[in-house]
Amino acid sequence: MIRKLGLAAAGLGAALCIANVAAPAAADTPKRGGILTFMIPADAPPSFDGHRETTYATVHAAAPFYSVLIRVNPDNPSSTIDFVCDLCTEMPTPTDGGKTYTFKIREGVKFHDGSPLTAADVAVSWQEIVHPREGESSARESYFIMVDKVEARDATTVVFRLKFATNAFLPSLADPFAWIYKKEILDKDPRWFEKNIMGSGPFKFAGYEIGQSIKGVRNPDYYHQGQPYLDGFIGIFAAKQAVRVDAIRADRAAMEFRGLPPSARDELVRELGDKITVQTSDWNCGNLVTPNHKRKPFDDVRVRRALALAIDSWHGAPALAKIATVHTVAGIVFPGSPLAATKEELQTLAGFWPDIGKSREEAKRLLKEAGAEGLKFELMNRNVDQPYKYVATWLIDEWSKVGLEVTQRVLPTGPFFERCVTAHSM
Amino acid sequence: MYRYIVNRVLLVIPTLVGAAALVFVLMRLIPGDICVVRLSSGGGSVDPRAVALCHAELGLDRALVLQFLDFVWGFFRLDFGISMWSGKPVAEEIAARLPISLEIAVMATVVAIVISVPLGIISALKQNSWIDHVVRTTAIAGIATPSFWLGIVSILAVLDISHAIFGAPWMPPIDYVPFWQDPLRNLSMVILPALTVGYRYAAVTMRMTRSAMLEVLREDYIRTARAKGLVERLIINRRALKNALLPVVTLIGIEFAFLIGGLVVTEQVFNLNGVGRLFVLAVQNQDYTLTQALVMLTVAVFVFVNLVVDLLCMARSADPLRLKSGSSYHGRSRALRSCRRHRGGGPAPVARRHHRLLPPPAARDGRPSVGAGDGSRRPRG
Amino acid sequence: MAVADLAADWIAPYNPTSNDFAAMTEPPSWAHLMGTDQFGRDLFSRIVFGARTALIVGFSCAIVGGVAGLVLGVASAYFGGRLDLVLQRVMDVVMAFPLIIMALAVIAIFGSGVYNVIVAITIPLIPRCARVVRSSALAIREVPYIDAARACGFGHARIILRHMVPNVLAPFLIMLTAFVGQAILAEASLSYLGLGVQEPTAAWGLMLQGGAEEYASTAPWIAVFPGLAIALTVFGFSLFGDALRDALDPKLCDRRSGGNLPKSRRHRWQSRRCGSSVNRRPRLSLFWSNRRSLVYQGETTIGISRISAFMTLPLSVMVANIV
Repeated sequence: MIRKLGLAAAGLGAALCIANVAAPAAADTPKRGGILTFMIPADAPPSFDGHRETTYATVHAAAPFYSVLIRVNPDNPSSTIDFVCDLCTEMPTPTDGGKTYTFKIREGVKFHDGSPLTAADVAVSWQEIVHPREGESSARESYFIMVDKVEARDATTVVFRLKFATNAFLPSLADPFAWIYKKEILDKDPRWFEKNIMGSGPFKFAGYEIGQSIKGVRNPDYYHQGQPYLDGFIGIFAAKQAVRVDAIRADRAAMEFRGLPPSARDELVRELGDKITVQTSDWNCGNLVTPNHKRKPFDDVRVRRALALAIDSWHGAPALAKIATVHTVAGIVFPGSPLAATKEELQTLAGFWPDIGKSREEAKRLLKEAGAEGLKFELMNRNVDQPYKYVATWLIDEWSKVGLEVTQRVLPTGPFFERCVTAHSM
Repeated sequence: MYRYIVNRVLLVIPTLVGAAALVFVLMRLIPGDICVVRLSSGGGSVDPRAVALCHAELGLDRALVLQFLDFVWGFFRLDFGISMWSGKPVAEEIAARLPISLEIAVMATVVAIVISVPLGIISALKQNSWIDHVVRTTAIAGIATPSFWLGIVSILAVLDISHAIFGAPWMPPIDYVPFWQDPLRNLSMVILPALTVGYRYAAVTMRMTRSAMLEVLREDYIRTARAKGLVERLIINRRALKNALLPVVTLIGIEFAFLIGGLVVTEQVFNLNGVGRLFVLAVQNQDYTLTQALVMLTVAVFVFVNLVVDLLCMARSADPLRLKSGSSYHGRSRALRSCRRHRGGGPAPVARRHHRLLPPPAARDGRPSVGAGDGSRRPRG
Repeated sequence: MAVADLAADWIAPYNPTSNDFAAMTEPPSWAHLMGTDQFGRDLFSRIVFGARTALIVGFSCAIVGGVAGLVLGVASAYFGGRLDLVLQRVMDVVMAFPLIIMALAVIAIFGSGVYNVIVAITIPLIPRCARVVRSSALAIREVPYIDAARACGFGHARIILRHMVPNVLAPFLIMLTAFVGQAILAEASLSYLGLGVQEPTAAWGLMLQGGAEEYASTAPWIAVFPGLAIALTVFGFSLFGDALRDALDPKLCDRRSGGNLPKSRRHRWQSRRCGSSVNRRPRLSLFWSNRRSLVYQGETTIGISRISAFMTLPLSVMVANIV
């Protein structure tokens, strides 16, 4: 039964995001040795090719096997502007009016198969990400529309030439999925890395139990001297939060990297006392609700505005923050970034007004004016509890306060995005 | 009789082909395009050329009829193709998950038998005693309790109890190791799920054991044996049990074939990487090949178990020894009937043949043999 | 439960879907009989409204599936021949599909809402019912009065409706009761998997998903009450089904055995009475009277036993809702 009104979507900018990570923090002097068991909060990803996948299931599981060109400073992970070299030797200064970036690549870096990593490997990997060859796909092609070409000038120099200068280039370049693959393998079979793992990162691939867990062992030849500190790791896939919390509680696993809501954190701290360390930080994840504006009645701007006005982010966020991975009320830009709107600026926007009563009245008035009072529609959502389904439960209740009757339809992540892409033709 | 067997075996084919057609059509009715799903995983726009290429690679651009024939032909060659989601061979995907599911299924069956058969017998022998009442109530509760809830509660109980007793919370391991590598770890992981699945299973079996036993105990030949002064224990062990267990075994077989449904939910609760969870993922990801293979696997198990049960029932009811064991001619039809009872009758030709196998409706036993779900009612003359 | 269902709006003290961030995960108290969930929603209200969801799903599935099965089963038995053969093959196929997997596929196709869940659960129930009805009907078909009716020139419809259907009603009704319980369980399982009813609708299985597990150790009431509600309700339907079977089963008070149907559940005093002839009456006359038929299928006690049987359900349901 496909509803006529079908609709719509996840994602519009309403509120929030959050953060907080429950995890034993690293001590000041690193301790060496040991095998870390951590939980990966997802079902196993379809492939381990970072260029192709976008799910954190891929990056949590396979990132330890690979190197990247540059990365966000690991000692300052929530920064949006602090980038440091991984494979390069020095962060470059752009030349040619900001259109040319020249990276010097470390010498002596080896892939896990023993072969040397050169600028050619870096260049071809980036070329795949930026402009994939015919028939191949890259999940991030659109991030790099400013890039004209990537080339290896010699064995230790990679040059990015841009079509136009932009500050968005370096942050995009620090993408944690942008793994460096071996040129020889890529040329032979561009799909090889979907099913196989072979990188130059801190850990060597040691085994994958299909759908269950992934193992890595220390790479003794790692180019960051003295790292990694661990002898190895085991990542266990568990999409359900209850399982992950129980596992940490019963010492079946030591941590998880995606973060738990405060309620779970508090439970663990209460149960485990000083045996657990918790780190709290902001988390870059925006929740957006996107009406399909090609469909009636969402083609009417008044209806869309009313949807935003009905949501009380200022009161909802702090309450939801206790149970869901939701935190700060924000606009489109990551809160805390120099570009982000201040609270005062936000409060002048529809949907962020400080007086929710007035906001709801206005929403009702707009709906009435648009002839959409008591509108019924379906919210399409991802079949993921945190934070998506939690936020949806709250949103639906918020909307019910202006007389909207909303039902929820959840889809697994893949089909959800497929539907978003194809929704305009529905 | 051979005609019956051949007939029965041949009936397997339309069922399998029908199931294949059903799953094939169902999967293709699910809205969405696996290629777009795969390629748009981040919500980016999808290059139509890449989609076309992907279709060609997966063979989705061919006529549906060809795709179907390919699938059926592959099934008969036991070649299930490549998973459309992960690109790995389907056989490999399933093989990685089969051991744990199979182990839980087998353990649940063992748990069910160990609990249910003795309890069912005791309950029947002490009919209407307090034991009987307790056992029967527990059994109905077993049928009524959702196994996933039992799972949630038992995990919680294990964590809290171990915390209270040993001072540190304990829970079963969360990654599967095969039994021969580390039996203790393996068992501690599998036992809880097996118990939750086994409870319902045991409840159903217990009820069947009890009623089959009650029925047999009222047979003429048991009464004769008693009249002859045989020791009660001997009567129970030698005569009654042997005959009462046939329907129980049948039920165990059939419930085993249905276990996959229970496993889907239980594996979710315990985060087990088994076939049940793979099923959910395969359907959700619109992985045609994987879903098709899994469905065919389940259907094949079901059909096979049913076939064995049917043939077993037939062999049993035609067993001449059975006549010597003090039972009347009537006993034969009874074995057959109790075999089929819970199945609600069989395919048409089977039922017809049963009529012929049965004695003339001389009402030898002096009562009509009518019961719910009884597949072999006799015409009354 | 029927009461709870119809009266949900009055019984439930709170709106089952409205969040109350001032009262998140509160333990049971006078204000919130069963406590609140992580959104501050009143659990008792959600359970009462969940009863409505459960009953809608349970009864619709059982009735639609049962009636479809009845029609197919009787038609299959009555007409026999090719129709029977084809229908039975189709039923075989659907039967071989495990219920939950069929439901998964149906939901993936149609989406997950209460009505789609009903479709998903109903389809697999049809063959189960058709099977049982067919085998009962097969026996009836052989009975001479059917031939007599045919000889009288009655139409198929009349023979089926007047003579065959009433005689298969007993097993049919017993099965129907079992289906209600099964459907409620199936709906709970699907919702638990996140494939059935969706938030914020109140449904028991859904209440056990996500939050219930996450808060199981800090707020056990969130996990305990919905589970109890499911278990007690299905328990009630099972008891009711057993009692119904006792009441309708002719063999139960068989002269010789005093009851031997599988899974029969008998009351102690009932079996005592079975021996006496005082209570015996022709069975069908009290139920769906079909005096024209020559069928005399057996006898049973009536009166208190039957009444008590019918009492079981409302009672257990009340318990379910009170707990």
